[in-house]
Amino acid sequence: MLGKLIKYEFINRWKAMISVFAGLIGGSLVVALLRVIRESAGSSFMNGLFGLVSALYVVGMLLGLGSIFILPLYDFRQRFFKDQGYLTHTLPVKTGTLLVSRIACDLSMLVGMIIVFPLSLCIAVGNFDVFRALADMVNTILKMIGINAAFGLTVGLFCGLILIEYLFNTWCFNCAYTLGHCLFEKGKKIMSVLFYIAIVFITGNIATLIANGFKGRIESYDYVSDIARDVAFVNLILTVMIVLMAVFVVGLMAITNRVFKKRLNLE
Amino acid sequence: MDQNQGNMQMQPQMQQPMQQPAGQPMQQEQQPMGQPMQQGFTPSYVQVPYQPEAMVTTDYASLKPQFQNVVSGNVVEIAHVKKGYGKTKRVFEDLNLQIPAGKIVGLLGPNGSGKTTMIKMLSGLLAPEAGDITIAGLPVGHQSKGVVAYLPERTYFNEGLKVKEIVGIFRDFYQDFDEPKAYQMMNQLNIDPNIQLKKLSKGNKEKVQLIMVMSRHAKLYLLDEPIAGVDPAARDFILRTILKNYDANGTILISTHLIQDVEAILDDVIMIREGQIVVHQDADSLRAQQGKSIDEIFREVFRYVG
Repeated sequence: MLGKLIKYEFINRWKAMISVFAGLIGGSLVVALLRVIRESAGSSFMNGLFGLVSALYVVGMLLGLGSIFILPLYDFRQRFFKDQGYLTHTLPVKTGTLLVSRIACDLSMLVGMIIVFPLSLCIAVGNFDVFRALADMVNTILKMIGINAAFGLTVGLFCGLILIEYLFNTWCFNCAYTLGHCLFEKGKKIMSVLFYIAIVFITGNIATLIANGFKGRIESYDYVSDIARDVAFVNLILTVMIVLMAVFVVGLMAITNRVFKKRLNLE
Repeated sequence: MDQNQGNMQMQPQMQQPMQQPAGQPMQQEQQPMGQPMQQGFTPSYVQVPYQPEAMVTTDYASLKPQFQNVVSGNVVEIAHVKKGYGKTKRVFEDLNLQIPAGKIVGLLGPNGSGKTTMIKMLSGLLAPEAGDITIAGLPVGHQSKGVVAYLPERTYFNEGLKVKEIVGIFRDFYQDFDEPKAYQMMNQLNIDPNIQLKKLSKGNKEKVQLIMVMSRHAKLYLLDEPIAGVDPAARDFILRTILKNYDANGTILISTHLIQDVEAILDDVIMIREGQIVVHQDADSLRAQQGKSIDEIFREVFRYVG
C-alpha cells in the first residue's frame, strides 16, 4: 500500500513540481537567448531588455527556491485539511503510512531543485563554469575548516544532513499546523504559530543537551581545524545530528498521526 | 415531430444549427451509432446514445433491485457513542443505533441535528469521544474504510487531475471498485475521461463523484445530501443512478432535507433531533401507522413552535 500511496503523492504533486522546474529552465533559456541577441545586436534597447529579463529571472529563481519549502506545506494543507481531506482521510490506509508516503515526494522535490537550480544558472550564463565555481567554493570552505572533500563519507553525511534538515523543517510546520487546527476551534492560526515556536524551542534544547555531550572532547582541541582533521569525530557528529533530526521527524510525524486519529478537524 | 427537435434530443452535444439550403427539405443529420461524439475524443468503449425519454419516469420502486435483503444482520452498530465539539457543543451523549444490511435508510433531521456528524463518524472522519462503532463487524478504521463508500456534500477530488486519474486512484485503493462500470457510466453521461476535473461544470463534477462512489460494491454507502443544491432533473438522475448502480447487498444511508424526493426509495427512516433518535422505523409501516407521507410526519415531528 505504501507504493500506491507514493504513486498517489506523485500523481497529485508532480504537476506543480514540474511547473517550477520547467519555469526555471524556461526562464534561463529566455535569458540565454536574449544574451546571445544582445551580444550580436548590441543596442541600448536590447541591453535594457536583457537587464529587465535578467532581474525577473533572478526573482523567479528565488521564488522557485522558496517553492520547494512552500509547495509541500500548501499541499499538506489542501490534502489533509481542505475539501480534499474528505478523500485523503477516507482512503483505506493507515494514517501513518499516508504521512510516510509524503517523504518520498518531498525529498524528490528537493533533489530535483538541487539539480535544476544550478543547471538553470549555467544555461542562463551560457557555460558550466558556474558549477565549477560552486564546487571550488565548497571545496575552499571545507579546506578552511580543515575538511578534505576527498573524504566521501563526510561529504555524503553532510548531504544527508541537508536532506534530513529539510524534512525536519517541513514537519515542524506540518505538525504545528495540525496541532493548531485540530485541537482548537478558535484562534487556529495563532495556535499553529505558537506550536511552531514551541517545537523549535523544544527540539533546539534537546539538540543542545546532546551537543553538550561532545563539549569535553571539543574543548580538548586547540583549534577548530584540529577538530576537522579528526575525520572520525566529524563523521560521528554528523551521524549524531542526522539521527537526532530523523528522531525529531519521526516524533513529529507520530504526533501528527495521533492528532489525526483522535481529533481530526477538516476545515 | 420536427426533425430539428428530434436531432437536438438525440444529439444534445451538437453546437451548430443545421444549414438548410433554400427550397430543399430539411436534411436530418444523424450521429451514427458507435462514432465519436467530439473531435479528438475517441472512446475505446461502445457509445450508448443519450435517451432523454427514458429519464423522465420517477417510478423509483421499479428500479430497486429485486434481490434486496439477501444478507442478514446489522451493517452498522453504534453503541453508547458520545461526541461533541469543544466543551460547550455536545452532539451525542449516548447514541445507540443499529442499521440492518441491504436497506436504503433515510437519515432525516433539521440543521444541526447531528446527521453529518454521524456520517463522518461512520466514514472515519471523526472519532467519537466514547463508545464503539462497527461497520460490517469491523471497528471504524482503515479496514472499515475499505467497505464504506462515502459521498460528501462537496467536491473532494484534486481538480487538477483528469477524470481517468481519479478512476486510477479508486482502482488502486478500493478492491471493490468496478472500473468498467465507472467508464460505462461516464460514457452514458458523455464525460470525457481525459478531461481535467476543473474544466467540468459543477453538475458534472458532482456526477463524476457519484460515479466513483456508485461504481464500488461497498457494504455501506454514505451519501451526505446527494441531491441538495441541484435542479429537479438532476435530482431524478442522481436517485436513478443510485438505485441502478449500488450493490444490492449493501446498505445506503442517505442524509437529506429533501424528503419528498427520496421518500419513495426509502426502506427505513431515521429521524434525528439534537443528537437523539426520535424515529427509527420501516418506512412503509410508518406511513401505514400514521396515514401520512414521511414528509408530513417529518414536518409534524420537527414543527417549529413560534
